[in-house]
Amino acid sequence: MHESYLGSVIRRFKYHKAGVVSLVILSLIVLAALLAPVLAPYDPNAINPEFSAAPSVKHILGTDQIGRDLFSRLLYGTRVSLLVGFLSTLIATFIGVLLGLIAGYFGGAADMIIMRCTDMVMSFPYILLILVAGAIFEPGMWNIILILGFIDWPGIARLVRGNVLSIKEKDFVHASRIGGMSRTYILFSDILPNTIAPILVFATSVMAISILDEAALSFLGMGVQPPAASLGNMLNGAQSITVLTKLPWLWISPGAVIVLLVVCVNFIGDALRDAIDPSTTKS
Amino acid sequence: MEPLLKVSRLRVEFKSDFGKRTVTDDTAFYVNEGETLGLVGESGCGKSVTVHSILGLLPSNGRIVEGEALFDGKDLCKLSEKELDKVRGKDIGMVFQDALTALDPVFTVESQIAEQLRVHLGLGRAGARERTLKLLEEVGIPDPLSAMKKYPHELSGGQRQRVMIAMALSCGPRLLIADEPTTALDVTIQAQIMELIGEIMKKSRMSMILITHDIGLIAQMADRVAVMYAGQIIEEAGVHELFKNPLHPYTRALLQSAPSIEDGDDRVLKAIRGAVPEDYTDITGCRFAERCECAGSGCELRQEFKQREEGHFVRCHLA
Repeated sequence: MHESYLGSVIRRFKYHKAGVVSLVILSLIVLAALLAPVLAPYDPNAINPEFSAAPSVKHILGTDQIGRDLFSRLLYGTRVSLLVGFLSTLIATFIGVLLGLIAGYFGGAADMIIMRCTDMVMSFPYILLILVAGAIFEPGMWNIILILGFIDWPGIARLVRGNVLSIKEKDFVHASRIGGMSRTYILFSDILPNTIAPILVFATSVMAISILDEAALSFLGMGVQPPAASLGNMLNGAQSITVLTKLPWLWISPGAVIVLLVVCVNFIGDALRDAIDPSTTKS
Repeated sequence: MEPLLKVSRLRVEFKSDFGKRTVTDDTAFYVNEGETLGLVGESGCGKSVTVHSILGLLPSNGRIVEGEALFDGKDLCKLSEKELDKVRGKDIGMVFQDALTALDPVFTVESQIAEQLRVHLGLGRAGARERTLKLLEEVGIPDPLSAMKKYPHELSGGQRQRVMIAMALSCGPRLLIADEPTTALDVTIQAQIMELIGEIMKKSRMSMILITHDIGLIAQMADRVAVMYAGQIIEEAGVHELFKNPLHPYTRALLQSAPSIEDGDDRVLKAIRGAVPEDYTDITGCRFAERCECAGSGCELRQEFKQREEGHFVRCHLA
């Protein structure tokens, strides 16, 4: 019995235990974030009479300094973080793949110009670049997504270019050319599919980094603006030493969710790398 | 009758950091309809470069400086990439040395063959599928229905080679280029694959250029043979004529270095001393002279490719 490609991917993915556990946890987090309006016991921005209350039956994760329910804010904040991570990764991957394909396949002047641009973007101090961009454009969720998307692509572009360079000299590309296939067909149907696996794996790490960057930016006050919640600006309160030492529930839960998200995304990327490649024969 | 492919005065140069290098020079040969031309020579003598250049497959630092390759009246060297795409795959098919690298690892056998059928023959999904199945049957793949759904790495070496042959034949080409089609296979599979190619040739009146360094294979398959050395064709003749009456000292040496089943225990194979010169751009005279046993005066002059007997050409003033 011959199994389908998808079937073999799933089988190999299952082999990676940490990947499977991560996928389950990430799915739960995503589900919770999607269902935030249903699950949240309070309006995330509503102010309750209890300020800085410790976790209790009424507020299971406690409340912040101005009396907002932390659990509700956590759900909505996760939503924002996931959205930022996902969309900015999508943008970065799209730009990176396109530029990498062009640079690798056509070479010459196009390659030269694109690679020098990536070098330029990569040689800026990363966090400073994001901060400056955040300061120039008004801080806010959509701008964060765009900024991260437009800053995270060089890694992917380099990866794709390198892959294209090695793949385009392979015999099966020659075979396609002898088969009379056009350049665009070869680029998108021979070369791109052969480099999807590393792109996906790399994209997961970009997503993890984007989530962390959003948190860092919001923590510094240049990201998602209050009152809207994000995991990063929930940590913002922890800038004060009193909060850090006396009110740990304010930062432990958003911090834990960030760590969990990033670890899960990375493990899934790891498992994907083994699962996607049809020639890995680990059973 | 006009030959199907007629290559003349072909010269290919490669640019490198050290300047230009001529890789093939004054190459001329022709292939008639239904005929098999064997192209033999040591590794690195320009066999593959020759066919790659006429198919427009040179790497970006290589280019055709001079010459033409008339295929069915059209000069392949002058066609645009788009016009070439119409000829490649449809009228010319190619079989590579190593099928594992010549098949796309991320697509199934079916999707690779069917794609060509759709592009060149305009077949629909069902039609392409049906023809793929037939092709796989023709090249002798057991259980083609399940083989179609497999990825290249799931097939054995011999089966992969068969798939590649099926792919090269998919659109009914008039010329098949086989670049060392059996080098990567063991002898029994080698024999099967060559038998298969021979059968198909007989059935379809297709022409073939067989590139190899296996003299035995040439004797078995080719109608005519062109011997290449250091970027030049140095001798060309019908296969019987060439084996019976080799005129160029290099061809003679090549034949003497090949083992034969009739050899007694005491036959010592004769090796050709030295190696193909790495850069032969600046050698004006005979390029084989420094390894040649017959070398003498006159060898330092430019050697013309001349007809010595009916249909027997040679590039040596001594012949």
